Amino acid sequence: MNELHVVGVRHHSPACARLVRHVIAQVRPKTVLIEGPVDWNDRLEELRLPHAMPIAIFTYERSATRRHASWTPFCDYSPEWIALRAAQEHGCDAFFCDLPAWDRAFEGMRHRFADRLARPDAPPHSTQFVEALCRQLGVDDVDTLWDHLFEQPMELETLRERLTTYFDSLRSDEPAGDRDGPREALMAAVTRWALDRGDVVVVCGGYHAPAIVRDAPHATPHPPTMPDAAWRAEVEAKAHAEWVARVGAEIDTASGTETESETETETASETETETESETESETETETETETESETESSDAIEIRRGSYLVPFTEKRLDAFAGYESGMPSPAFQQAVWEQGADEACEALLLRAVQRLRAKKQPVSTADLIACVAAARGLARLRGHATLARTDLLDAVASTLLKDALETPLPWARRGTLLPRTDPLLVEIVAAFSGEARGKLASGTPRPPLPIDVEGELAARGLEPKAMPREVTLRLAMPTERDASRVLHRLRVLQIPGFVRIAGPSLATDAELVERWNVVASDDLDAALVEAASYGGTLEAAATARLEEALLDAGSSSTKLAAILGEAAFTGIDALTDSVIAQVSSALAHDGSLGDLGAALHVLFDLHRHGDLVGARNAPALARILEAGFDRGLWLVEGIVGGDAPADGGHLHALVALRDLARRGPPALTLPIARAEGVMQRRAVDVDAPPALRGAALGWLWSQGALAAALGSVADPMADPTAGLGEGAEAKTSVAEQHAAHALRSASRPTTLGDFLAGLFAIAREEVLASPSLVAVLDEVIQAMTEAEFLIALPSLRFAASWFPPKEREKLARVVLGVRGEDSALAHAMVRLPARPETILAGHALDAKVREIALRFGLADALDAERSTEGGAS
Amino acid sequence: MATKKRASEGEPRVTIQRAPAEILYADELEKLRAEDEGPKPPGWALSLRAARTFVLGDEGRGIRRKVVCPPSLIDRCLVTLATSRGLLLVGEPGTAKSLLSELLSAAVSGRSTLTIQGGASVTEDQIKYSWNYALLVNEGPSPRSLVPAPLYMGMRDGAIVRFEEITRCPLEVQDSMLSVLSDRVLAVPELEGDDAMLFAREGFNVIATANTRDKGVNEMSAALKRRFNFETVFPILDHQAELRLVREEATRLLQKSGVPVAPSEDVLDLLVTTFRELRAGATEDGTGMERLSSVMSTAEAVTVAHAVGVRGWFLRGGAGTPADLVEALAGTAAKDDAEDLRKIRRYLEQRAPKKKGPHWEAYHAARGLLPG
Repeated sequence: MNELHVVGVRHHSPACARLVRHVIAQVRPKTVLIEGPVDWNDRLEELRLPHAMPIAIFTYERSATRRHASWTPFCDYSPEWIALRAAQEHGCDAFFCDLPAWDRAFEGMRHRFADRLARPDAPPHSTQFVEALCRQLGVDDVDTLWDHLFEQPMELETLRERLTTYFDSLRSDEPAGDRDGPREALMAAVTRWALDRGDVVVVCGGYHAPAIVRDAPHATPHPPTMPDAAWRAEVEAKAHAEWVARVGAEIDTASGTETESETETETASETETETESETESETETETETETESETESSDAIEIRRGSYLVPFTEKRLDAFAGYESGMPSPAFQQAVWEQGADEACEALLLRAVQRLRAKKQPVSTADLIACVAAARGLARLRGHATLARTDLLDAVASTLLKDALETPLPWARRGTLLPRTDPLLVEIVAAFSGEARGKLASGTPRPPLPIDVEGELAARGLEPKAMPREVTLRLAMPTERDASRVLHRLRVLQIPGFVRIAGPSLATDAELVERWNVVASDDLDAALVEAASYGGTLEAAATARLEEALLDAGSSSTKLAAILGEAAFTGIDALTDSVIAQVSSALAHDGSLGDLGAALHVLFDLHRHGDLVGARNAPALARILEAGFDRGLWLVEGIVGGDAPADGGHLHALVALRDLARRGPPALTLPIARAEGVMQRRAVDVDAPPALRGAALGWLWSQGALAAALGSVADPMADPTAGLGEGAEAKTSVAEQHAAHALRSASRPTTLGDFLAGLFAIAREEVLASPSLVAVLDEVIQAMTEAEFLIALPSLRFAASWFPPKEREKLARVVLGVRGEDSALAHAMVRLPARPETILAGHALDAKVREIALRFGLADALDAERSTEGGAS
Repeated sequence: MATKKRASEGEPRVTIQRAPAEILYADELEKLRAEDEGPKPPGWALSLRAARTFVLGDEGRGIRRKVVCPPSLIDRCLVTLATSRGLLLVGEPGTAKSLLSELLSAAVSGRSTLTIQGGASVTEDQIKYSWNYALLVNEGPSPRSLVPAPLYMGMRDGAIVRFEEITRCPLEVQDSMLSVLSDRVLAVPELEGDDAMLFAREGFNVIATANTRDKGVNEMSAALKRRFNFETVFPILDHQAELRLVREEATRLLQKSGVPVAPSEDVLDLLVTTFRELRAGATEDGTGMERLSSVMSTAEAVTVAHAVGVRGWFLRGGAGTPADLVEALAGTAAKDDAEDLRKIRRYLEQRAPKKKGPHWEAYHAARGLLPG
């Protein structure tokens, strides 16, 4: 029998890459099998072109029920990449031996070589094993553990033994399950096939290695080609049965795992159905808007899939960037691979310092000396022969930071950087992550995106020509709106040559005409090839680009709303659930009620009126609005300051929240009762700013919950009808009595205007419909002295600004009615002959004159003069 | 990070209220010293690796784990101490900074008692040296009449000096550490000849602690900052680890107070979750909220768990309930600070009802028990 050498690796590990190169050189096998998409075996020549790394195989699949996009990235030190090159060097046949990336075994995975332990569905046994090992060896996490155990210089044979022991313990006898089962079955079967030809070296993820060693000798041979559906179904059923047989027994004693996986499957299928319905609705809209020929094609159930090479970036390889990636700090790994550990540390430290100094962060030479000394000390303490990644990073943190941190060191845990990470650490992580971008060799087959774009543009007569031309699009026309979508998608992808020179800033704006400048650019093709890493079609790529922007926007709701507003132009339906979930959770972090309110206004408008761009009632928006509403309530409860002035942003936010509560479609599930609870507490809270109290009261009133919330009126004096003449309505509702009571208690000159601003912002219709409340307001203002009125005036004007001019006149009419005067005067009352500022200055002058008159004992005379004047007018 | 984790079985034979680490763990230190084969930095009692084992523990060798923290923190602290810079531990109150400084001193120098307690009234002579005035008047300044303070002793003997709450000292007092930290020499101008200069022996270094709540770190002079390596000590990162620690410590305290029932798991879950979320300023599913201004450390959580247990047992003869917890939160956690009470109320009103489980419902239902 021929020899089988299985090299279990960690993806993107320089040490494993060295080992792979060594084993292939030593064994010189007939066949080298590599974990990678088996449908690429007839395209390996494309990979062998002289590309600048990193690059990736991008795979997509679109059908009526499924959207999938994933990357299989390679960098210079990828063991898989090295295996491919070493095989060529030593004249071995190389084949990929794993299922293609669009297979359902990779459902939901965006990155084939993502670290298994970082995934939410990480196998429980492996996780426990790694945690125990970390504890025992005194390291923080699995990445540090890996560096500590395997990336240190050692004999390659020792490394190989260590890796085998490690991966055997990691896998133990855990069965593969529905996802890994078919993959491992294919890898084993292809290995068996290759064994008949001669010696074999298999390079695969360490977790799979024990299974392949075990299963390959007994497997039925399968050539390195795409297995048919029957084969696929058979191995999946077998893997499933094995899982149930082995794990099923354990479930009875330690329940939990199975339930979890069940729920997962459930959610998975739910998501599928959701996607299905989304796609259906999309198809419907398309059918409505698009040309006939396309309607025909959408009837046929077709699966569009493909894969092609795209340039990749170091940033996207980095675990800190959070794109489900393999190893942290790719620039560091690259330097280790090229120069060795010690030189790499020096180079990276230099790079980090340059970045810091460029950002005006002082780093002294003394600090650098201390840093290097500390790094060497840490390496010695930890028993490292050369500096490990975290030795250097820890030393940097230890010696360069001169402040208390708000979040733990980024490399002490997995995942993206937390908000409030120290800026110095952000720079250092970025330096270690690197900025290299891959470049495809010339002669690489072009990805489908440029072809798709050409088609899309040609179909709409938008091809760029050498001569710039202006395109005018009327968004109300379905075909022109469709053309606008295409152009917006190009803009989102930053494809040169397509510039919008005029048009609505939001999809819900009243302006409905866009003007674009279209011109052929020399960089068009290069930009399209680069953008192809986002997707195979224009729509998919634009969506992926927007999703990335959304993820990068952090928790600023203003930014998020702006990007979502942009997404409305390109078609918002395509955003995936996971991104929507992340945006919702980002919104839940916004600390500014004003910003949140502005964002909610924009999004709610889109949700209600976005018909033109297909955003009306989009489920994605609904979920974001729900998250925003919840966050808004939370922030409203936190505003304090018993005499803080009215904040227009806060009031706008409250209006947005109230609009959501009142006009939100039934599809939104909003905690209305909790909202009322919040308003009830804030309405009577002495620590709340007066404007907020007014707004909370207005909320309860406008929602018809005032009486229920505050009970019967405690203060009989509050009855606004008391002491009023025939002008007042005989009967006032309990709600109005409450409002009047609250108004009286907020009637100090410093608070009245703010309180009214809040009340008017939320409940101006109710106020206009309640003469009794207006009567109380009139009475309160009449009771003010001149000086008090001057204090109250600016905020009273702000309050009145919440009424549109027409309603202001109506209010004046109500006031006149209450006073029993001619309501026809109202029109003149709201149109002052002079600017309010002038009148205000006049009042101030009067007050001063009066003060001087008083000083000289002339006040009586002045008053007499006044009263005659008043009588005359 | 961590709270005190002193196991009751290791209680010292000496009848002192609270034994320092070098007495409490004398047997472990002895064992480590005897088995220590690693290279020791000059003036150190243990090698770095043995010192690390002392703090982080090693089950196989019968060394207990004494703090819950990332191992890399201890690595960085030890390496800093072996270099020419001082170590400044910063963090929220109650994150076991002082315990860590005590353990590190005990491991490095074998003594943790050279301690300066910072405060507004600390003067330079409490740090460096003062005089025996009877002798001073009688025979003038002489080595005999000099009364050494901790810093003097640490430099003379080559030992770690602990400076607790350094940022609470006046700035000029803090700056008196400058020359000591950079030149490692202390001038005694009153004396003559060799005695006028005290050169620090190998093994001397300073571990200072500072509280982020005191806002003092920002005011520290840049010159002094430069002579320290900063290490931030965080509250315990892992929910389960913190829960375990609170459970152990609360049970121990309750036994001491004569309460035979252990705190209920439900209440501990509520307590630890509430503390973690209010401390982090975010719920565990990532929703942001305001942090409390009072300290939500693990140590405080233990105190609250203790208070809840005591209430439950002595008022009703059972374990504490969610309602007890709500009442205890007001007094023990919020310290009746109106602002914090408001935040806790907001948490109970808006966050508690979103969690699942009957204990969360009971917790939400008891929100009326918050005062005010």
